Amino acid sequence: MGRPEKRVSILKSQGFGYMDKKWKKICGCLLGIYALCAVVFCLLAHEHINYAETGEQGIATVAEARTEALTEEHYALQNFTVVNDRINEVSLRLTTFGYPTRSGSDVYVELVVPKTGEILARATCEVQNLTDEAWRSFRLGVDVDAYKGQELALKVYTDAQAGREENQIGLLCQNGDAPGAGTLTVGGQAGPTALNFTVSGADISGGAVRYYIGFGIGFALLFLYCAGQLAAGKKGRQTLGLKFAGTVERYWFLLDQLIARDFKTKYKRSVLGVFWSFLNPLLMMLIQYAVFVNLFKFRVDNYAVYLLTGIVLFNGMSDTTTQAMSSITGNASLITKVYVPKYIYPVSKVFSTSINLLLSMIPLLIVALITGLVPHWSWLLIPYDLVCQIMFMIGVAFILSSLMVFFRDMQFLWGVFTTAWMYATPIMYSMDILPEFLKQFERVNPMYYYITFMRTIIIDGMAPSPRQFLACALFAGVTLLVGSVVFRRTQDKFVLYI
Amino acid sequence: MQMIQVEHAAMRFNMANDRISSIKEYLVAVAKGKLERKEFWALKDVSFDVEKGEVVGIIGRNGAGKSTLLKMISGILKPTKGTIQVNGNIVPMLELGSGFDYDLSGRENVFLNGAILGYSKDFLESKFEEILAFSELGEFIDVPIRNYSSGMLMRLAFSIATVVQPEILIVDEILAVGDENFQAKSKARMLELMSGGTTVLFVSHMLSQIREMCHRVVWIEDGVVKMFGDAEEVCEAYQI
Repeated sequence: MGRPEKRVSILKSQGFGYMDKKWKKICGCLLGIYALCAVVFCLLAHEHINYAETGEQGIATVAEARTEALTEEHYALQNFTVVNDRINEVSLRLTTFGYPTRSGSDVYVELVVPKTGEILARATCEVQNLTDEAWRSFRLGVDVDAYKGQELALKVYTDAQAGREENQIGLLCQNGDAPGAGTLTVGGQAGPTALNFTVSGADISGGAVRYYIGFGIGFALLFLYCAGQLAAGKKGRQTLGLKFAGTVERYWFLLDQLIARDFKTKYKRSVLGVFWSFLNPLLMMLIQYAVFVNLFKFRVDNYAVYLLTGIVLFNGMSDTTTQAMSSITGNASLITKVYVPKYIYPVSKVFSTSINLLLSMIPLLIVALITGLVPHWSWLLIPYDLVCQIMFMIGVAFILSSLMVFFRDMQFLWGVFTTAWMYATPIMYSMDILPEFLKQFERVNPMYYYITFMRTIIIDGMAPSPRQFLACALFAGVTLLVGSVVFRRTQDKFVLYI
Repeated sequence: MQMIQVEHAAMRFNMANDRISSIKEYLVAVAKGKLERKEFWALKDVSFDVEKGEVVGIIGRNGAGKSTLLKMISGILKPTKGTIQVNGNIVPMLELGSGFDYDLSGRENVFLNGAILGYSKDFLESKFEEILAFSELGEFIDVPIRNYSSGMLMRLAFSIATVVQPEILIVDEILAVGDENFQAKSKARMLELMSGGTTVLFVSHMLSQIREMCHRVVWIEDGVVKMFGDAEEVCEAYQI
């Protein structure tokens, strides 16, 4: 079947020939974006792909004795031999000698070089937050590298005043043999064999090479695919990729117009207009910040940003999905009169609402700067997280909008569901107050991954682990796939039910 | 060359569909044992084809299935049985202005509605002046269309829809909108489009128009083709 001759090129052309240059450009862009992403990933996640976490290395873990109460002068000094390439966390067992602690003095942990006394890293915690005899981990904040096989010392002291028993802090120790542990002195005198402590760190794994090779193979495959498609296009054959590109090309303008319409009409008749996109999350954050900081006293580092990240991403998700859900039923008058691929409606709705999500990233970053966070290279990963979340939302929108056609109850059910979902996601509280079954739930909660990813790059200023990259992409991909299948299967029936 | 091929197309509607749209209603219906699926065949078996450049009329009484057939050819409905093959771009003129957004200005709506009808951006930009001139809206084009009168809306919608010279045009009754002056103008435009070498599918109850415009005519009754052939002959038979 040949294509009919064109008299006037009023409609988008599906012909390939004279658009050859354009396709080449698109392929070039695709390869460029891929290469850029790969390079950025390798640079930013350098730490993760070069080092393998080794977990905790228990050096002495049996609780058999206590040290005397510690003060600034009366400190504990524990020597030990380093077994990892890198150290970033130590855990100790602190005791309050059975007294509940009242006032807030701090415990300090320092990692020092015994011979020179040089302090490599320091971490603190408040006594108020202590549970008697519980393990307490101290993140060092900096990575202590290249001391493998050498001896370092752990210096533990408090700023508590001597003699006031309700503030006294000691450490649990072990009497028996503790391999890897050196001498322990408390207040300058030799004490029991060793403190109860563990060291966490990482070893150089050389795994980066595998990533480089993987990305290289990916690039080669993509290049071959593009070349194949271009060749097929020249010969005039239709392939899946070309068809897809053709559809995108053809309906791009419509998508653009629908997004513009949604966005323009949303704020058309409000005084502050687009400004609400900034204001809304900011006001929400202020309220929740006031409530949760003053009433519930959650102690999380940089709680304002922690909270706002969660609010922005989760509200973005619930707004988008709620609106996209009625994208088919709401456009009933169009669907029954003009033929347009139906997926355009949920997709355009997700995009137009996502503009809001993107805009509310701005107050988030402003708050981050105000609270003293410094822009970090890892912030470059923000688009990755957002793209994954948008893909995820498109998948959800496909499922919801097609279900909505057959059961209008969905809109009410979904409202209830998102509320439950919101409280089950660590948005305003931290992960560690969750009961065990909810912790298990977070493993399959996509929003938890997207929010944690964002928090890691903004608050901690570091690239998340490759597992998290993968989790974000997987949730997005799988949801999108399932959504497309559901939508495809049901779309022909839409027009009969709306 | 054949632009439209309809082969044994049939369309079934479930009559129960309208009543159940929530889980509660569904469960109630199941509990009462009333979940019978009453089927209704709007079209039972329709076959015909349209050559390039031909004007084909479709006639039949109300409820014969004419609109269903047009919707199937436009791609809005998918046939339950049979196949429909269309080779070319379709501009369906089933209902004007269905994609309008009332909060946007006339100008913005030209682009929105044009995009929905499948026009390209370049095309709309180049034809914008023509649309504006034909619609006689003048400076009102930048006013939100919720402030338009119904006549203005129809004029704008008509101007957008008829600015193209599509490969296949589907017309459900000749649209004559607006005041007398504009009606004459719009009718002339329609006739111009239909006689311009475009393949046209044309539904009308006015046999005089059918006789005048069409080469061949499909007569549909109770969801089947009762007669298909030369315009004069079919109209003759239909009138009896």
